[in-house]
Amino acid sequence: MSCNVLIVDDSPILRKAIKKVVRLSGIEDDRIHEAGNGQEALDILETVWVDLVLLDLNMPVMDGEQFAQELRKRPDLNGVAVVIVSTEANKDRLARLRALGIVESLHKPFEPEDLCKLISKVLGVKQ
Amino acid sequence: MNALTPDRLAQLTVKALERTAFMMADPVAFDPGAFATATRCAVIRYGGPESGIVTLHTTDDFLRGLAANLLGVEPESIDLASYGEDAIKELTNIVGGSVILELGGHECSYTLGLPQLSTSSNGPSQSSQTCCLDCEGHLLFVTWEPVSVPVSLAA
Repeated sequence: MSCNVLIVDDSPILRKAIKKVVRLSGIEDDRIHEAGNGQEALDILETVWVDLVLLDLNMPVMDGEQFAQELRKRPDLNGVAVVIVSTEANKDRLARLRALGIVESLHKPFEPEDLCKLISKVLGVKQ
Repeated sequence: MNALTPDRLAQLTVKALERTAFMMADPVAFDPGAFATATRCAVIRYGGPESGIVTLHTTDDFLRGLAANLLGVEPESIDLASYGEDAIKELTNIVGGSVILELGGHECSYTLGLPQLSTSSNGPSQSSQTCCLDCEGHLLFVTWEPVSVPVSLAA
């Protein structure tokens, strides 16, 4: 699948675990990018077009909600699909993210096949 | 607020281990002697309608196994100071997330902090609930402790 995916999570080991699942979805290795927080993700988006962001929320430096707000302010990046992959359960925070147009989320711990299905669904919608 | 029993805490942790690291675990009786050998510790705090702390205690061998399963490599190749410690923090984050979802349900208004490594070697307090799991030959202790005063969620 010729799509670029960006995994944003402050845990290096979980990024690697998620990367394995993204590979299973048919995304080539060199199309999978990683960032440890929202700011690093924005820096990557300056240089690489990304079709899908898999976004953790609770991160240091810039959290996932702040990242999403910044993303939606940018006309050139406004169309990037975002899926929340997080332990977040706070209904108010999830409502704020839905208001930013982020409707897909996966609560950790998740089944790998659920993430595969979600990636296919979101990228399929975009294609 | 829902109350968490040790059995339910164990169920949430077993699910986290199975889904995240493909590791099987079974509840076993709490053994204070074994707890003393579980020198690796990570904590996560939450706030909201009530505050609390979730703490995981375990051993180096469990950390190696957890990190190895997450990465799909052999345990002997795991550097505990990097991937081992990251693995226990992430498992703590996931168990903490499961705890607040259990407490708050779909109308959850709890907020989770960031997981941190800890050097705490204190045993579980009387106000806490603790479960002990045998995970592929290694012990993992999970403690949930409601606290009466708001806790700082800052890392």
